[in-house]
Amino acid sequence: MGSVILQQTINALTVGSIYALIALGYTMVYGVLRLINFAHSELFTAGAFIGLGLAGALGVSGHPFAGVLVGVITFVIVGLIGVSVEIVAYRPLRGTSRLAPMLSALGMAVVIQNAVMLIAGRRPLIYPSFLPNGVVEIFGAIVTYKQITIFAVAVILMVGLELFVNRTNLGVRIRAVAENAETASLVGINPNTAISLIFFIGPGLGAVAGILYSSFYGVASFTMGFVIGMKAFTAAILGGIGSIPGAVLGGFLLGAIETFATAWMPVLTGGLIGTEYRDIFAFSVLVLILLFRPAGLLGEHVSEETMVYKSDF
Amino acid sequence: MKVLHGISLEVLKGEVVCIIGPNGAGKTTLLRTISGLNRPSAGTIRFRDEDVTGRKPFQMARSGLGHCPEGRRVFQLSVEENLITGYVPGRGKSFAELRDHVYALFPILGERRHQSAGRLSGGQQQMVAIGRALMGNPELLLLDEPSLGLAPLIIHQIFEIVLKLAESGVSIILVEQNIDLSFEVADYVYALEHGSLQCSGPAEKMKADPRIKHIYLPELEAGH
Repeated sequence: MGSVILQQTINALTVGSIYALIALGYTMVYGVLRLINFAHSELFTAGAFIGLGLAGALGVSGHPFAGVLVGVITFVIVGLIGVSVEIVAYRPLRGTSRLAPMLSALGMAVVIQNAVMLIAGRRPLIYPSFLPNGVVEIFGAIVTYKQITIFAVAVILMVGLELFVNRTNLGVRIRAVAENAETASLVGINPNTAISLIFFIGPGLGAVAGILYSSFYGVASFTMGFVIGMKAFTAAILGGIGSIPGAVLGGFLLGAIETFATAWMPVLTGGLIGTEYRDIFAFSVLVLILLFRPAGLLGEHVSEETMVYKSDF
Repeated sequence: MKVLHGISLEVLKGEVVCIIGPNGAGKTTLLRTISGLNRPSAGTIRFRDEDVTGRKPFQMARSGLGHCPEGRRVFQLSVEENLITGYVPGRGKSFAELRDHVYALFPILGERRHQSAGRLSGGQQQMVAIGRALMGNPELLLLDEPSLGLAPLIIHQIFEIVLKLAESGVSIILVEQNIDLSFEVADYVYALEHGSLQCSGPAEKMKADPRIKHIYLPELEAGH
């Protein structure tokens, strides 16, 4: 019994790591532009496929060191795609309505998804594992090296992001732009530089998540971003969109809710609700959080005052 | 919408220029136009013998314009992080030099450097806003109603610093509702009403001008 719970906890941490990494991209963009970047989920997919392509082009695969190399290059490539998406699809619409950039984001999602499909094909592809093989048994629970690696990579990236945002001057400037872009520009900060940086880091993290995800399941398909993206978006909302710690908390919490609920529902309902209902839990969480605590767990309550203060731009 | 009409304004080095006028006269709009937040529909803005019309606010800030906006607008960051946001490299002074200068002017900020600026008192927030603007080592400083909502003692303290800055060669454009205060510190006064220049002149001369009283009559009646 204890080992089952431990096993589920480890599974939850694995899936939670992926959600958290993607959720960071949603939350960072929202924090600065109050925009939900619907293209983010497709950049996750693009990351997985670019990683796959790189492995082929470089003639490397199946080795953790190759994974690091591919991960870093993919981060940069998808980061630059993210920056371009902002410049092409969102920047010209800034200062219009909130709806226009959101529709543009949906359009970009379709564009990127179709680009992936045209280049990589419609059929799911077998994915080389960049993660180390092997298992270790901890108190009766089986932990694969893959799971440990996914968790470790996610933690390293999240700690790195935390240090960057809170301990560097550039991070301070980004926070200033997120709080009030107009005031930031008055004190000499170019808001577009901060925004480009956000659109580099967020999609970069999403791309790494894509590689980890596909490496773990051994498959990549051009449609895989949609559901994962929606769940990561749910995680960002759950934690409080706009909050970086919120995205991490939301990611792991959603991973836990989903894993435990999926595991226990068939038992509790006598098999009536099977594991195929996995996706229902994440979206129930989304509905509940939007109904009862729209600001999320760590998000600030949106009062009229903050609405005015944190002006759209 | 056109708010300002044909205003000419000049500031010399180390001079304190005060813009007075009732609410809605266009004082804040004038400062925002100088900073590049608003674009003038006509006319030019010259800064250090250079046409800077149409420059972006961050470019203005980087070329030596400091702007303390209306309502202070400190960031919900620590005091020192607020100073980091205002630091402009390559303007002759290092971050540490400028920061220490700000802490020397406002010792209380040095004591509270790690506190969140959003939790400070109004007066201390105003100090953070001025300190943040000074981090760009500005040649021209725009102050939008720095006295608003502050206790007389704090106002006095802040205006002493303003005069000190002017003595050290920083030019200052000050927007004020407090007319007595304005005449106390200003070298030159411009009076705005409904977006146009009503009158202007050296502070001593303007003090006696009957038109000043006329402009301020509604304010006095409203209890200001």
